[in-house]
Amino acid sequence: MNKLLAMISVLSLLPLAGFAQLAQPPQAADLQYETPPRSAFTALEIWLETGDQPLAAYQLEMVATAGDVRIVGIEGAAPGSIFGEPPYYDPAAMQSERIIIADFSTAPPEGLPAGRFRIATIHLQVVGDVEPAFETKLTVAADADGAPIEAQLTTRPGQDR
Amino acid sequence: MADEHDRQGDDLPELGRALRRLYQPSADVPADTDAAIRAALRLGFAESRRKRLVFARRLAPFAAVAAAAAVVLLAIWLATLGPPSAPPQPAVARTDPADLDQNGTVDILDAFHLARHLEAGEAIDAALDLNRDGAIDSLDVDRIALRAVSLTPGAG
Repeated sequence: MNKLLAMISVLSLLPLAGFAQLAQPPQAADLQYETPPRSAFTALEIWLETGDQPLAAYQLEMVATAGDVRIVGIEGAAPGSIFGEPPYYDPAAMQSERIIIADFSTAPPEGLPAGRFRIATIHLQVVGDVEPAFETKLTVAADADGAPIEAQLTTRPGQDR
Repeated sequence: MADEHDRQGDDLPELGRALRRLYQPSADVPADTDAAIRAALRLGFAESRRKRLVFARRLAPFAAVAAAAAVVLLAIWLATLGPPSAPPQPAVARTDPADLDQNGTVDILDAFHLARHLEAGEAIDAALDLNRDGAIDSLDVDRIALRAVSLTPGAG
């Protein structure tokens, strides 16, 4: 009888031993998570120089030529200015590395921007350590009559806000 | 009819004999003359064949060059033909209503032109009701502008 009781006691303790094993904290060797790639947010400012010609319409294309770059946001010119609202763009450009932006204003010439001014800012996520590089192309720059004007496009790194 | 023909032959026995003599092979050619004629003919044929071979050998390089030139000319001609021509288009091609300045590209200037026409209250082609809502307004301007910036060619 005593032997039978002892056997039952041992058998009833076996599941507890299993739980105890499961409750052990994982060993350091088991924790092998992959380190995520470095990711940073930055911005690219798009500037136009039109001399003394007021700008009424523009269209440009930007493409990342190096690095793992994803477009995450578009910003217009200085808030409150003629081109202060975000320009037209294809929503499909978000999370991609290429975008076409464009905008126009029917304001009279005296209200249009001229000289050198920031026309837009493109916000970017850069993944990895490869330094990003970009190509930009101005395809349309026109005055209040829709006539083409001479304009130079430049970019510079912006401050992500 | 046959009987009549035979009778005529009997009537002209001299003529019949003369004709037979004329077309009968002459049997009085000496054997050595015959052999000499045959040998001369054989020699003539052999000479002629030799000349043809020499001529063909001399012509062979030129023929090869001519054949190569013909192949090259044929290749050039085929290359200039290009792909098969497209099926004929209607004489009056339908223009894209969104391409207001008709420069072949829908860009922001087309939206700009429509916006200016709208602001000026000018008459606008009904085809520019691009969203087919019965009115030509800023929504149609937006539609053109979004097409201008589309990353998918031909979209919109």
